Amino acid sequence: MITVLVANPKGGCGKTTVATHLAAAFAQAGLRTALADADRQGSSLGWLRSRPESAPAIQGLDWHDGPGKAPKQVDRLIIDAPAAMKMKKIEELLRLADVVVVPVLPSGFDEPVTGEFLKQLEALKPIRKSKTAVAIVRNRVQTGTRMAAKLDKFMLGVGHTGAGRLRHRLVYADVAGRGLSVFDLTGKQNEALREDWAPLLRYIENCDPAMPFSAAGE
Amino acid sequence: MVRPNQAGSSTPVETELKLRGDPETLLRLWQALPRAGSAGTPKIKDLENVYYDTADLRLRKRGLAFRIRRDGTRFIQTVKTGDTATSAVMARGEWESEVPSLEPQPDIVDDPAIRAALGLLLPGELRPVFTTRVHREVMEVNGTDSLGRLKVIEAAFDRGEIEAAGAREPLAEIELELLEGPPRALFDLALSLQDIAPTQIETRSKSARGYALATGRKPTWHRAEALELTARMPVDDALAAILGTCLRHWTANELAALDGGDPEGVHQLRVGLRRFRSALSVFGDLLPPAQLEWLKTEAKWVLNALGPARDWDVFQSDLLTPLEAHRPADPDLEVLRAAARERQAAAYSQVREVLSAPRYTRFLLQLGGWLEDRGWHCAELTAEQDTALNQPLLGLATKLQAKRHRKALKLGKGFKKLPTAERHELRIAVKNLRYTTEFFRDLYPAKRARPYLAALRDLQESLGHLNDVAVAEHLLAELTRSAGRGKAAGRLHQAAGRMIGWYDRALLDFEPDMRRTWKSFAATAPFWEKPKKQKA
Repeated sequence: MITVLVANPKGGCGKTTVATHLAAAFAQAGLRTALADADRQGSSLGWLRSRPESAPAIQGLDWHDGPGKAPKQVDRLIIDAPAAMKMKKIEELLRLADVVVVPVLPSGFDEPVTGEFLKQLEALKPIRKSKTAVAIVRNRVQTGTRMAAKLDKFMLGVGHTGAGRLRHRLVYADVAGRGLSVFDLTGKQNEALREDWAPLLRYIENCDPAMPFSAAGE
Repeated sequence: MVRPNQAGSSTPVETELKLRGDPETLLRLWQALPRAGSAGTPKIKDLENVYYDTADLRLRKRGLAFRIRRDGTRFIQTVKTGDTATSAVMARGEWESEVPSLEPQPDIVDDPAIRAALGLLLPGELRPVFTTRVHREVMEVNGTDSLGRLKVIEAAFDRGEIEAAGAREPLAEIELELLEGPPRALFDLALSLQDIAPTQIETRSKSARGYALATGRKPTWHRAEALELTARMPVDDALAAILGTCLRHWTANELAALDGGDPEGVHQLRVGLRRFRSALSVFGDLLPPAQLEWLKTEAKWVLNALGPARDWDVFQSDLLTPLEAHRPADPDLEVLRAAARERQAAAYSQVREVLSAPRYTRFLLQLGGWLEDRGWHCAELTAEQDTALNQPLLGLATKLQAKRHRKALKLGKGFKKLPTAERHELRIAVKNLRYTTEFFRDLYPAKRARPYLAALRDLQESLGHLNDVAVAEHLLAELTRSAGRGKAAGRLHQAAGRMIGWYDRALLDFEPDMRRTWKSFAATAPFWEKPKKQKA
């Protein structure tokens, strides 16, 4: 099982969008997937409630009172962390995670908060000891804009793996209310949008603790 | 070599043994195999297997092999799990289905476990990594088990090539697979083939070889796999598990040792063998003397043959390099370095010679068969030994560790004034104690074992400096003895004197460290004893 923690104390940076999309991508790939909502607002669970039966199933877990037991027979567990979370709480969730995904918006307000958060993350044991990987994903990027370029520069400075950028599209707002994701839609446009997620998905797949073998020959 | 039938696992595993050699030798063996009646008529096939993976080789990293086999006009897609020689994975699953073309179809895999193992694959992410093309002959041959009963073995003879990114490598191997019954029959058959022509045991799967060719990476070295001993398991099971782990540890490092690019290959191979010998001495009283003698002799033969390679590796990396850092561009040391390299190269040809020797293959086959059917249960085993083998492990483990612990304490008594020769004896006792305690550590709470094992490791490392000097003296004597006369010989003598002086002096510097590690070891309570209750 790979456990992914989606976290950033800055509100509105797209944690729930990223968490629900990751869950949908894994479910679509035929993997047994669970989505744990650690946020009081329960947006991820709300998304799950409106998810149509025709879409690949995702198991919902209510963790707003703290982390529960990870279910057995699950291949991918996505944890949606609450905003403005205390570091102590983060640490609790972090111990469960193989990889932390930090969504960042191209905004002057988000970058300092994210930078501070990353600094705090680095001080935590699982990350310091490289047991847990950190991936930063740039969210709602309008390519070619000044803000996008500024975010790229910020990324260079924080010293963590950038795992791609997600373009700003209205379809994300649309699918959010319907319990869906771009992975559940057809059409050429959505196919192009799904490609935005490829670097992040590949990054997560490489964090599998069940990878005891080197790629070299024996 | 053989995929081990893990104790306690009910999953059926393929039991197979592969021999490699040049195609002509293998053909001779093939023709000499005892064919099993009408089923002994070889069926001939030409097979092409294309292996697929992602660009970052995630399937490989997960121990999977994904291939499509072209068999005439049909295409069979197969996903195999646990496909590595040293894999600790117990279950070895396989999922097969027919597909219309060479286009991989991961989505049709509906076994949840294999699906989970494949993970998420992006559209079009699987691409060919390498291809094997073989001319395969398959037939059934007769084997016998230890009671002389007939066992049917499927034998396959593959000749062909592996191709990856334009590079090609010839492939020739005979694979023996037991259709039913105890695996001993495989070893016996392979041993009888050794009488006709010597071959070597192939430890790699075809996919492992393909990946090696595709990535261009050198064979890697391996640590020992984890031992899974429990306090209540019979001594007999522990003995089989420990010896098996040691055997797999050293054979897993054969390729890295043969390659010689990384000193860790020969080192790990030797560690596996030394642990094996240590296990023989730990359990020696429970084995028939003739068998014990045979195993000790053969293990010692390999170890000794590999010793010089290790010595010259350590001489250069641990002794010469620090000295060169202190005296850069010293012409005397340059002569010494060149001489050491020459010896190292000769030592590595000896490694290759021994690991390819018929005696070595024979040893592995005999040992493999002996381990498979626990050959120590023979007429020479006494009733007392048999009883002891059926006891729960914990009692024996506690006794053996206590014995070695006492011995170390006794040898180290009055450490401060102990002369070098006696400290060497202590060093060896400490080494044996360390192997013994590491075999059994899992029987006790980790929290209690940790401080003791840490103190033991520190002491062993500290006493290791004694050995550095001894090895340096021995190797330098070897170099200077054969140096002859002349300018270079003079330089060599100079460098040798400098090095011995340097490390003799260093030993003085290490004296406080040695005393400290000894004191702290002697003061650490053994973890196999019940902790004494302390008064509040």
